Amino acid sequence: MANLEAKGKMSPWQLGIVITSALLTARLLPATTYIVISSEQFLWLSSALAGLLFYSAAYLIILLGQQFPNETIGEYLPRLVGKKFGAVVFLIFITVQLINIINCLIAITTLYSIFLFDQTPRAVLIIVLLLAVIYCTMQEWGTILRVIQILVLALPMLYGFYSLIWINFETLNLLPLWPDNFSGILQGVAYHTEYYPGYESLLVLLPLAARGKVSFARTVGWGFLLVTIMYIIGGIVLIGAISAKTVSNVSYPVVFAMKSVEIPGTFIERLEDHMVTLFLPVTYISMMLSYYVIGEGCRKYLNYNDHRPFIPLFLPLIFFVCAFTNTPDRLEVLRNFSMFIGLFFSFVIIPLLLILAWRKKGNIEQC
Amino acid sequence: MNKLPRFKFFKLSAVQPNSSLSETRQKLAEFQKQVQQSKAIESAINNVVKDLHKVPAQDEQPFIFTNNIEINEQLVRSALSRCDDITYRQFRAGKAKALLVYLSGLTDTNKLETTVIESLTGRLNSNETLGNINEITNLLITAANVTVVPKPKEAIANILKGNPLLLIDGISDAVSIDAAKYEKRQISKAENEDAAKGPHDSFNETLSDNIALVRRRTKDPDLKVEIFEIGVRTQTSVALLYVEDIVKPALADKIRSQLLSIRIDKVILSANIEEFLIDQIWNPFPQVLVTERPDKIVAGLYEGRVSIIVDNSPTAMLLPITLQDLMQSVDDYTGRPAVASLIRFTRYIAAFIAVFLPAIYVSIVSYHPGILPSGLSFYIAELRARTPFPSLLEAFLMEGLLEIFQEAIVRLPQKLSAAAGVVGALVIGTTVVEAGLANALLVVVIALTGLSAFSMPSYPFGMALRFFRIPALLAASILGLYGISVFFIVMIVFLCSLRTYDESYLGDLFDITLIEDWKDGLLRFPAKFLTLRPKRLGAKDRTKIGSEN
Amino acid sequence: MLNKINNKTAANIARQIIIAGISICICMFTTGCWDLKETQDRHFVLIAAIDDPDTVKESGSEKQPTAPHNSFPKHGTQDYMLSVQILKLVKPESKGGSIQSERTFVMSTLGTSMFDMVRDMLAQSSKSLYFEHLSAIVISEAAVKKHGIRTILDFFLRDPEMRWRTKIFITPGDAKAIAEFNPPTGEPGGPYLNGIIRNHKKNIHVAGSKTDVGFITRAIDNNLDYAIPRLEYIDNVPQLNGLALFKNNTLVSYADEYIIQGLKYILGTEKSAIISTNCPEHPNSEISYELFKHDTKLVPHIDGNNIYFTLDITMRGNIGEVNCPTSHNLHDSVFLHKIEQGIAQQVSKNVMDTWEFNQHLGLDLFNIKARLKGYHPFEWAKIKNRWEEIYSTIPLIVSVNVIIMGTGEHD
Repeated sequence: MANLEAKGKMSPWQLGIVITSALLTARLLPATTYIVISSEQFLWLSSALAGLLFYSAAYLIILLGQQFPNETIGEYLPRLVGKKFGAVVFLIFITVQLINIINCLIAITTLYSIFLFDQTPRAVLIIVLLLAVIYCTMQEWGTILRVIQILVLALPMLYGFYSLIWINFETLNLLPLWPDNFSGILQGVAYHTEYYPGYESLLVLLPLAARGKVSFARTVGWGFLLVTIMYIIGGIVLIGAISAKTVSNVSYPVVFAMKSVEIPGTFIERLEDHMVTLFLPVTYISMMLSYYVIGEGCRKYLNYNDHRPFIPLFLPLIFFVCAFTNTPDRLEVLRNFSMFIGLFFSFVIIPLLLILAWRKKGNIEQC
Repeated sequence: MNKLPRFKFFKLSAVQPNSSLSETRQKLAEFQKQVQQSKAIESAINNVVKDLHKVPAQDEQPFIFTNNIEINEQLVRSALSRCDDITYRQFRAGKAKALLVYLSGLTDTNKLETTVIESLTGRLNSNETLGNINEITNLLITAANVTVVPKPKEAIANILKGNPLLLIDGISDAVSIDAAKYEKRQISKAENEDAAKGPHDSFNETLSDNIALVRRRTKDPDLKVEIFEIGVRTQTSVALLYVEDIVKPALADKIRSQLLSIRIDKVILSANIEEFLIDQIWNPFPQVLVTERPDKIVAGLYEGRVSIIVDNSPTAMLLPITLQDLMQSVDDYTGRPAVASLIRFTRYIAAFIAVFLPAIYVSIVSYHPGILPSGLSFYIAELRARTPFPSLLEAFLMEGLLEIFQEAIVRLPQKLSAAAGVVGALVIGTTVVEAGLANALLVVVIALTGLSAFSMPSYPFGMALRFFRIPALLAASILGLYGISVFFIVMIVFLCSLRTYDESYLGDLFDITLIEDWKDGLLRFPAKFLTLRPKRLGAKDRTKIGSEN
Repeated sequence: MLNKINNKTAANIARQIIIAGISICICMFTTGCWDLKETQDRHFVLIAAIDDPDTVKESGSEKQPTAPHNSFPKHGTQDYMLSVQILKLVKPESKGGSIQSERTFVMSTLGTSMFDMVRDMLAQSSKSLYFEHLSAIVISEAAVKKHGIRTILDFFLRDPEMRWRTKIFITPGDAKAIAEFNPPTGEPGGPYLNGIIRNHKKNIHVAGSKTDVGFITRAIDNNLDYAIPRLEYIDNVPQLNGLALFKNNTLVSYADEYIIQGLKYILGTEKSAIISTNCPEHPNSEISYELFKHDTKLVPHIDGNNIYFTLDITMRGNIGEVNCPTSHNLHDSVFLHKIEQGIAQQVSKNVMDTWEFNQHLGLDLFNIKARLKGYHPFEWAKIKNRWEEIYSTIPLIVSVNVIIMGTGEHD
């Protein structure tokens, strides 16, 4: 087409990029600690299993989307499960997205306040970032898509940077290769909701993508594969560099591992500070996408013309939850809640919806 | 009652309180009345005269030409009253009286003599009468371009353009002869956008010359040139150029209708037009490529863009544009592709430096000195220990100095600006440091920033980068590296949200659906490979004829 | 009409700009830029030296401040004395090459908690202390013996401001004296100490690989045994001399040059080393072998009930120096082979002595435990409980392969 941006539409590959960029966020930083506490040196294995698991959830969502092309979750829910249940399910969907934003915000601002600041109140960091997110969400989809495609470049940079940890790699830390603690690894898989957030956005984003030669399952699958491989290699290096025991003792192991890298003779020092800077755009994408999905989902659900009115509505909620969650026990509660609700939505609600959709379709065909 | 003393002096107003003031007031009022009455009479007379003129005239025409040359002359004189630069030259064309009306400064009198006066007076006998108007224009007048203008308004406009008006007794039409000639600048070397290789000619202030410069570069009948007159009073000619079978459909139409809807009394600069064409007027980034190089315009036209050339402006506009158009220079295409690609890449880095370097300096010095290698950090600390100001103030001080010097050097005449440059270099480079107002490192930082902004091929783009330096500095001073990161992201969102004619301002940068355009974006491929026109501009016909076809 | 639209939007935009401006101003005034601290307003700590106040008092170098009359007794006992070396912000050297002034100064205080002492030091300091450029931590032997090393290092591990590549030293004397040291090169003392240890790759008698805060932390986390370089202050010159060996957070022993050499032969951490051996033909003269490539492989084996380790060492290098009274034909392969044999024997003896030294002390500097666990997880599970007694009986089979690559430029 003549126009630069097919407004409100994207190609399947762009959808793949969008989902890929939403997956990796700063949320994985604190999560690594408690995954390693349970999975020990088999972080990579549980990441691989989790990749499979969460891709299957994404695949279910794509299947569900195929049943209702050109419709978002907000539109078909009332038809599928009735008005009341529809509202509940929709609310859970919004909560999942909100939780993603909140977790991202907490993770990234805590990261910054630990590594770059001393006395700056976290609330200030939160509100600044939140306003920046809102500024982007207030744009139209074409702009957001473009922003994602630019900021996603921080991902390979971040990863390249992270690869410097290979300098400190020691095979001994990864041994033995025989897992003796299967339940721990499985528990680690559950904690991976923090490693693979944001794919639920597909429920709203699918109608925005133009169906092309390549299926969505494939492009999203490539994204998941890429991210999973990154996690697997990243997990191997991390454990190899600073050992599982140390990972479970520090709160931001990935950044901490970066601290141990020293390249003498170069200008760059304190690599962890640079890494922290690169985490911001990566996390920003996920937050902004979730926020847009909330706005767009509400717009479709309530049949509005514009997603913008919904954006400021959630600002105070997000801000207060973030600012309130500032002690370890509150963080623990939030973490467990977000894990529970994420898994519940992906592995209980979505399959149920899919089965319902299939049954309804079957009925219609029989008629 | 008190008894008044016998000899005492009083004020006149005290004795006769009402007399003097009231009388003068009365007289003044009467006088004013008379003046008003006379004014009313004058305007009434004027109205009558106007009505007299109006009655036979058509809509919006001040009068109508009659058969009688004396009346016609009177009418023209009244329309151009108090314009002393108008010359009225009476002569005889055969039997009939003829009158030439022209602007003395804007008309080629030599041409007038040979093509009109000589041919009309010389060829006709003194008792010969003239037939109709066509006979005169077709047979007698030897000027290259002659038009018959029946409408007086048009006739007067033509006079003001410099085209003499010929009136002949007995003929109720006026003839406008194309003999405008005025002093103009020669086509000279491009002053602001000179390229090392490549053509050196540049636009001057004359529309016809400028269009000719474009035309000379292409013999394509599909290159369309539409000329409008914009400005209710100045009636400035504005040309719209596009290549019909390449330009994005509706783009030329949209710009044409935009041009026609401009209501403004004067167009003096091309920027007057520019500001009506763009949507986001407060956006500091240039949304129109202004160039004085005709080759740039031609290249742009064949990429599917539209060009606007305004009379009396030595520059032409190209639109819509994207960011990478502002980052390209002619030298990219005259140089070797490998080198040009590297240079282009450098420009993007320079753009980043131009906005963020002082901010990064402030954030590192004030917030995160730990991020530097120890030796460097100690060195900076030792440098900074001798300056009294906080880093932000120091940076603002130097930034301000830089801006002042830039302005001074740009405004000064060339010879003086060299002197000012020396003073500036001395003051900034050494004295400021020695006086302990700023440290040497900051001078390096600010100088590098300034140079980076200058290295942008488009001056307005460099200015925009200068604009964004200030918020970046503030962000850095409030929240250090975090502030810079957030500001960087916000700036990307801002850039992404910009539109020019529904096209994204970033063009094909980082858009995978436009990935085909990458060959001439961040990199510059050899011409052999550039077989397609950029997709981002939505050209109708995308194939260029490449050697691979 | 375009003009009309502009009037309206201009008003809107003006309002937006005003709002943005006000909010920026509010931000500026309310934020107060919490963490803004100019570089020159920071006191960069370069060395943290930790002493035991009792031993320092004995040596008489420390004067206690007299307590104000009504002061409350200080909380707790005074377990440590912390001295910090701080960078002086002096004018960079002028062109004339004037006399070099000292670039650092030292402050000390007594206390129990490191953090508390650091804050306490602000009583003597014009600017607050920053540890971003901490280069070295020097701990006196007495301080380590008092409470172990974990408690001392805790502050340095917990604060994210610290660098992980900060070097740790143990000194038998006063740590404060080392902090007061001014290097002859004119650079600050901290980076100088940091530089000393970087040379470990070229000096076989000095060990410094993996002895910085990060690696020590990792070792502590994994419950491994570790070694920290010993820094002696002799004649106003700090000098690396030996290794302090730690087991379970306590200082067990010191290793001398010979043991260090053995450790380095086993772990292969050096890039280059000089090994001297007696000439096969002139027993009183020495031939120096310059090692430049060193591969080692330490592998556990389990053969039935026997556990043993094999160590394969391959060394490549040149002849660096020959001190013999008469010259040798160095192109004679038999003679070269004899030299190689001599060096190999020397190395393998050194390795065996080191191995036994370790076993004798019950130290596991080579990660024997982790290797066994990594390569043979099932067998490890069986012997886990008896490890202490098994360890001292594990034999090592060494094979050393020395190759002479070149014999030098001139015979």
